[in-house]
Amino acid sequence: MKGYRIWNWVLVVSFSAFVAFLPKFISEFSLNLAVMMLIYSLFAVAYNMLLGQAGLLSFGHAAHFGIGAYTAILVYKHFGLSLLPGILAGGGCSILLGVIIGIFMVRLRGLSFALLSMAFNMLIYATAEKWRSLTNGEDGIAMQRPDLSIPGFGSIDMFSTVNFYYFALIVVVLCIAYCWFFTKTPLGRLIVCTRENTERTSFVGYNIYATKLFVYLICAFFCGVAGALASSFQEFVSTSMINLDKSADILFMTFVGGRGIFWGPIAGSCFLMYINDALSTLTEHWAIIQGAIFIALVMYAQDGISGLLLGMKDLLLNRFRKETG
Amino acid sequence: MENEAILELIDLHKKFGELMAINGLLLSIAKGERHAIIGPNGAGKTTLFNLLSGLYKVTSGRIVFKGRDITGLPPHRINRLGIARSFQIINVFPQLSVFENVRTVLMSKHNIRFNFLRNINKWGNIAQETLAILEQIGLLDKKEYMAGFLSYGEQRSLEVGLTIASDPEVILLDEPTAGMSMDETRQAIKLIDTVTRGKTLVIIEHDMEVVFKLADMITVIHYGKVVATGSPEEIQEDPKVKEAYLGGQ
Repeated sequence: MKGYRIWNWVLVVSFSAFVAFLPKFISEFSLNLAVMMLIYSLFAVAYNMLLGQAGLLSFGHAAHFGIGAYTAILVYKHFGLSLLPGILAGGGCSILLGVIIGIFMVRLRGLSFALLSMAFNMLIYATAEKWRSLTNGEDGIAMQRPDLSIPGFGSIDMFSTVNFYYFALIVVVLCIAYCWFFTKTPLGRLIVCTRENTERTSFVGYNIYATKLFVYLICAFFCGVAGALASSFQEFVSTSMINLDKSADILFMTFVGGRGIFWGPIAGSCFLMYINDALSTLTEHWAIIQGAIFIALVMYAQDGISGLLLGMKDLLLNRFRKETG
Repeated sequence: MENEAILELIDLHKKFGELMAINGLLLSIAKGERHAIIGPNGAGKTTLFNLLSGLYKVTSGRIVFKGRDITGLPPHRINRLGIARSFQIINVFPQLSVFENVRTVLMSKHNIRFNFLRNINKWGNIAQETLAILEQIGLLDKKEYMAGFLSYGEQRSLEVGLTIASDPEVILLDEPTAGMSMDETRQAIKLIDTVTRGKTLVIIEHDMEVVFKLADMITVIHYGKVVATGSPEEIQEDPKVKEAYLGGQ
């Protein structure tokens, strides 16, 4: 057991070194992909708070991602604020949206929850499309990303991708670290109880609606932060960041990675973004292959990639144990 | 020994469509009493619990707990006021450990339900109280097991554990020995006897052995009404009770 723990540490340290020195090894083009992987990892981990931990299937989380994305760009454009306030405003507005739609959503579960989330997403998409004076409709808004200025410390130029990579890395790691910590807190445990047995949870003294609403808002915050990071990085926001395709993408990433294990969604988003990128240089029909993977996983591996990996690890460990007696 | 009433049901009605499941029920339960509710199948016993615990909305009438009208309150509010119930069908958190099942209740009791900034393991008192409850219900050595993997009798004990863990004043047990063997039933009686000492217990039961061992008051209900209330001896002698059981068949 002790050797096993050492291997875990070796894995963590080498992975940290890998992400920390990544910009030294790869091209600017690949680094762009790496930044997007970071951002979608956060989006997927936050989304999995609902899908995996609360057992609530949402088809509408592009609404939270998108509102974060729009907020950041609009804050830079109209208020001339720097990077960090823009990102936080993105998370904040996503919470506000969460309060408004959350009070309706948390009364439902199962199919009705999924359908209502989809309906809200469509409503918000339509608003973004039609409110041209604010959002510029389908054409979107372009806005150069501002510097990162920290009071009393000075300001860091964010024009270079390498700098933004490190900024995104720090924000994403901090957010995901909190999401991991969240699973150990009373509320984090409670939401698992509501997934397991909603009725019993209310009969031991918990207000189910309030519980689900709190978790919905925490999830909304991180989805908004992810959206704000994405639009800041791409220096552009349009309705493609708030439409149902985006909602399907995140569900897809989370499911492919495995919703039952905390780091599953990270694996899923990195894997899918990587193969999409690799396949799209080979063939324009990459979506067919992506679809085939999804079908195969839904049918044969409900726990996704992370479930498969853990299964393989157990298999190897057992073989190792047998050989060494 | 006349104690003050802790729970009063005043002219309670519950209608399902055209069916009056509870039809003008009047009942007063004294503090510290062990009160069994019996009656033929379909008499409205479980419906009564579902009204008391807030699962169903009352059609008319009032439920008064310690002088306070609690009619129409949602289940979690009723639980926090001090009325906890168990279920006839096992109703635990099957995929969570036995330890976590009970700890969930203690999180509620200690009012840390929505804390999202502190690790749950930092509350040492909660872990200790959880272990104490597990010891009481005899599941201490199985605390790491997933609740769904326990035997039927053990899951029943856990069900009782979830009900008593919040230290309620009134405990409602809905057929806690249903489906148990004779041996398991005897152990269950012993368990219920110890964990409910000093509290008010209301128990629905079909097994007369359990009723006579545990209860010091019995109420017979039939067609949603009280047929008779009294001590076990009085109930055994009551001609109306015999009629309800024989006539109801």
